Amino acid sequence: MAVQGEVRRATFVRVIAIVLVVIAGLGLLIHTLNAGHHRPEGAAERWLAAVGDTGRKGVDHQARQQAERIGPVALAAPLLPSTHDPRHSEFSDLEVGKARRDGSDTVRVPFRLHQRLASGAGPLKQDTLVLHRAGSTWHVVALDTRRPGEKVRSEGGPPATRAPLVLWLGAIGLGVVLALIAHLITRYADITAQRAASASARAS
Amino acid sequence: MARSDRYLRLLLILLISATFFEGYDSSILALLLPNIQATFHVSEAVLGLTRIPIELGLFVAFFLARQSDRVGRRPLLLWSVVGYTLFAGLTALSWNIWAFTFFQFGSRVFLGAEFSVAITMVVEEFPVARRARALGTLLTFEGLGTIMVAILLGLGLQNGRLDWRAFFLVGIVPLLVLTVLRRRMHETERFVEERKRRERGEGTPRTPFLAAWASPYRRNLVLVGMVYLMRSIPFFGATAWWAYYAERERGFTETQVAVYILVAYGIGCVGYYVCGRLMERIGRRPTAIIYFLGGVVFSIILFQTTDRVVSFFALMLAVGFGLGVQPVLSAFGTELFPTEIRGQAAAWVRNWFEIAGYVFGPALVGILGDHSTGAIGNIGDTVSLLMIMQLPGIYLIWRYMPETKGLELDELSPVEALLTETPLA
Repeated sequence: MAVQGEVRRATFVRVIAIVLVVIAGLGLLIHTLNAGHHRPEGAAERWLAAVGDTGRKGVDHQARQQAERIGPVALAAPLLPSTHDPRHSEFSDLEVGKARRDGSDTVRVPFRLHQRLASGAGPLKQDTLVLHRAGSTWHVVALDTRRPGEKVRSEGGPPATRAPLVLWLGAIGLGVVLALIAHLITRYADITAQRAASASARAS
Repeated sequence: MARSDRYLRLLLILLISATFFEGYDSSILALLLPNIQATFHVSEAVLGLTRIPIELGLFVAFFLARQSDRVGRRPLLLWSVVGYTLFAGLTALSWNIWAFTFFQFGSRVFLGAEFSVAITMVVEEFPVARRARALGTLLTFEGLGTIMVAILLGLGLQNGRLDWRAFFLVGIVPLLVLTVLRRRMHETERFVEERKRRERGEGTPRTPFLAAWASPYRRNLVLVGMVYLMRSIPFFGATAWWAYYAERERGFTETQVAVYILVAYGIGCVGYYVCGRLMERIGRRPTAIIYFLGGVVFSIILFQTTDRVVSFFALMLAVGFGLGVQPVLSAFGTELFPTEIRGQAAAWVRNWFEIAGYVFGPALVGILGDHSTGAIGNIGDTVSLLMIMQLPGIYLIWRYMPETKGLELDELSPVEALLTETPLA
């Protein structure tokens, strides 16, 4: 079926190439934005998740290795249930709170979890992990009882991380820029379509 | 010769499995993300990145589905079911996140093709008067697929010996159904007629691949495509990560997540119905603007509040507005194009612009919201910030979208045109 003002395949390939370049550029931008972020809250969460899987059949070896890279598994002994179902993690849920500075390279991260028993969710554990910074990574060095004010978000504490105000304002700005780009693309599509239509009308 | 009612009922039952499992399969990933992460010990960023190749499967499915014009609807549907079942089963056996990603990619390719061919078969086999209802039934089962995952989650299937893997083993059900009933499924009459014409050298010429981009349609295609894209990136980012966010950043249990999803999807259906009524009463543009704004506002509340009650209502309304906008989007995707190009324009909108959202939305949230290395560092703020991407979509609707209320369509209804390429003449 012949369609008036049809797009050439070469033009289509060119547009696809431009879109791919834009996507690659965005990928690089996001990679740059992410670079340099190493949050103690993330390390604490990952350590607890790995510790919870050290008794889980099939992934126990890998989980132990991953946990040991962040901190000694032995520190977690008070958190683990005395008996557990080896088909599941030893914790039925897990939430970490905001890190608080406790010295130049040390932070305290509150957490909350339930032990998993064969009969379902077990006792609640609310403690704090102490993490020490070594280079760009964080390591769990101790398990401590909570100090006053140390809470996770669901207990009314501050969020583990929060996007700064400048980012919210930046996002609104980006929304306006995107609207402008969308406006220009629509106008451009309109103009090229009109041009192609008048060209084919002249040709006929 | 028209098909008998009995055959059409049987056909619909067979095809329902295709749409049901599209909803089911997509929802497993969304609702069991924390379990899958725990098994493979990967970061949020890696989980987000793996969504890119997985969802690209739906894009590849677009090309596989086009092969049904050559080999026939029936064989492609049957082989797609076999392919989907195989990859769903293999997903259950995944030994690491990359094996899981590859098997899910394969599963998406066949599931997408199965879905597309199922819609084409309904369009070609059902008489006009019953077509929209049959399509409506198929789409309803897509939503029921999500509800089924929530029910199984509530029943604790993930607590069994196989953990989340058991959910993927349910994917072998369509193969069992088709194994029993495949001999009773026939090739569509339109395809048989077309094949005969082709053998005589009188086949209908295919619409060129780029026909929808021709100058008369280009502006509307770009316009509708951008509206779809800017909605789908934040929307699919939000739906893919809500369960993870609720469990890891708000302390929800798996059971609470299951209950919230069940109720929210129930209300979501009401949003869909209200949208259909509203767009006829006040017009497409105002309805779309109301729904887009509602989706943005309630999604931001949902991903910011710590109050469980507020969260419950915000989820219901976010799903109601976010999912419920589909009828008016379908209208934009079809009513702005003439009949001869409508199906293809709708296919471009769905398979290129909307699927871009499936691919990049969840990935962006995972990478930027990674708790350890993400630039934003949490899922809640990342989704809320991405919601702002819908503002340009609202602007485009307000500034450029033509109002099509009361417009007569000569052949295809908006829903059927949106979901398939132009069926054979």
